[in-house]
Amino acid sequence: MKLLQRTLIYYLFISIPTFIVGSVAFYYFLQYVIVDQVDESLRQDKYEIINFVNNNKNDVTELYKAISCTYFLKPIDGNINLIDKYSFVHEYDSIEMDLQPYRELKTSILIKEKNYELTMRESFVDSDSLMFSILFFAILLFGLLTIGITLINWRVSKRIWNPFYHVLRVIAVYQPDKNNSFTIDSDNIEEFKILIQAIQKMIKRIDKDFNQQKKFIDHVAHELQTPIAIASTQLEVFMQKVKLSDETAEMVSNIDNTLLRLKNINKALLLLSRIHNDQYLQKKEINIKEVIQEYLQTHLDQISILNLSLDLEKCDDLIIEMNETLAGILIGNLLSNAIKHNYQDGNIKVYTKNKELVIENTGSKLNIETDQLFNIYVKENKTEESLGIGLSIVKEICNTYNFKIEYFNTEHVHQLSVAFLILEKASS
Amino acid sequence: MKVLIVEDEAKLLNNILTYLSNESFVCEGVATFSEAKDKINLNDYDCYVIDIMLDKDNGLQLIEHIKQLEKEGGIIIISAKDSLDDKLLGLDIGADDYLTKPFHLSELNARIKAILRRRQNKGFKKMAFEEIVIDLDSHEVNVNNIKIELTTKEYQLLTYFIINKNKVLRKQSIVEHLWPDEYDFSSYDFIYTHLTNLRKKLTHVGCKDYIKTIYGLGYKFSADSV
Repeated sequence: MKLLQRTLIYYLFISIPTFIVGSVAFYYFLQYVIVDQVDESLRQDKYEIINFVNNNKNDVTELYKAISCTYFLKPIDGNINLIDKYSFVHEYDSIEMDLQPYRELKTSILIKEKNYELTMRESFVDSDSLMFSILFFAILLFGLLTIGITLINWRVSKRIWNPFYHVLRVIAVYQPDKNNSFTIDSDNIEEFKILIQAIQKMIKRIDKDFNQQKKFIDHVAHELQTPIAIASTQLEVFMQKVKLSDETAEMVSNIDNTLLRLKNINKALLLLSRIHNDQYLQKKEINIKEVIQEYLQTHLDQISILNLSLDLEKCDDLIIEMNETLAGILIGNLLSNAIKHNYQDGNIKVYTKNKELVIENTGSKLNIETDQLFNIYVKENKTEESLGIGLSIVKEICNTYNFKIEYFNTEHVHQLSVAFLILEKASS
Repeated sequence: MKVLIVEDEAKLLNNILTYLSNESFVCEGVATFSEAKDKINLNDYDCYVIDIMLDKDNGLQLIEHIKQLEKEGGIIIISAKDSLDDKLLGLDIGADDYLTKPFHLSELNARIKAILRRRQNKGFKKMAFEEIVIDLDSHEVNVNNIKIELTTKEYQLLTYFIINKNKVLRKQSIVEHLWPDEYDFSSYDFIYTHLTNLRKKLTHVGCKDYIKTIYGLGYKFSADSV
């Protein structure tokens, strides 16, 4: 929910009950005032009539000029003194063709020693139309206020919240060490100033840590190259020197293989660090299917040794814009795993659906959690070779391009799928 | 044929020199920039193997120096840096080849010989081992004057063997030579198939079996019995 929506909801939450209660109260108050006014007028007229009667005046037109109500006289027997009684009555109006409300005052009057009942009526404003007018104005007022406040809110969010949204955009697209120097005008609002300063500080710290770590990996990997080279070449020279007994040869071989593993880990670390360092920025359109075919073509030996059957029938052209080297590494790693971790006479099935590539191969179930699979530090015990590091490179490449990679595992089948360009970049 | 090796890691330099000591070319090794410069000024070499990480990238200056003197020898860079940019930079300033540390000495040997071969007279591009004769231009292989057909990988395997004859070749070195772009090897068993096929094709035309298996280590191409 947006900030603006939330404030609007709070506003409506308060204003709707206020307007309902206020309108009702206003209606009754207004009615009370009007009734009071009409009653007052009727009372006045009563005194005019009494005055007229008592002074024995004869000119009725004079009376009509003085009063505004209509009146009826009805003789009553005896000497009954009626108290003033106000009430509402409705009477059919032939012109309006409707019942019209009247305010009525009933009282008694003594004319020439004779008692009469005096009924005075004054037309009363239609209460319904009064209510409707009030309601109409209340709603109108309410609507105008809502529009006004929304407008103000909108302006405010655009103006006052501008630095805030700016910060949001910066954070949303933030990637460590990608030239993150940003300046935002805080409009001299204290909170924003503090926020921006805090974020700038935080980003600087993250960048620094990230850089240090990157440099560290890069340095370590590079520095290790020479010692590995010395040890490895020394061993190669040693092999030439003497005829080794089987036992010694085995030992030398073990050292050699360990060195090779070290070399491969180092190579992978360097590759990871290069991906981090954006050394593979050049992009071009690449047909993933061709990359797959090329890889399989050059690895027919391994495939034929394990007597694997290949199924590429449902693999369609898949054009992806990415770096060529990385595409090769990505596909190479996925397929080499599919070949390596397979059974004798097993199979590999590669197929595409939409922008997704699925590589399915037979192989025994892994003992590690599937979500740990892409973690660089996790390695399955049984397999000697580095599964973790190869897949962590795959993962890293996928991260770079926002590809989504998934792994499924059943008793005898591994399935790895890469969804190309499914995850959209968090847009500002 | 003379080769100059410039490598500031004394132990690595020593290993290189030892490995290449009984090859058909003469190797000289130096460990510092100034020594290297002196040697280059005084002599002509057919091949220069230079570590560009020598004393803070001085290796590059050394290559520039060689180019300034208009020396004709080929240049192989060895470097701990293996990014494409570094390689391109190296090749840009006139190096002929680029080898990333850590490397197999057998591979370095093959690269040096490739450079030396390029400097040999035309029509001389033949490689021979006992009854095997290989034409390096046409990739034709003859055993006892009988032409045999080899696949690309078998051909590469055979030449790699002959270049590093009488030396123990590690399986990983062979694999890396045959599949240079492969990044992760977990099993070397598949080279066995190529080896068997090559052996069959050679012995079929009466060639002796020179491919010797060295227990636990790899293979050796040799006329002597192991």
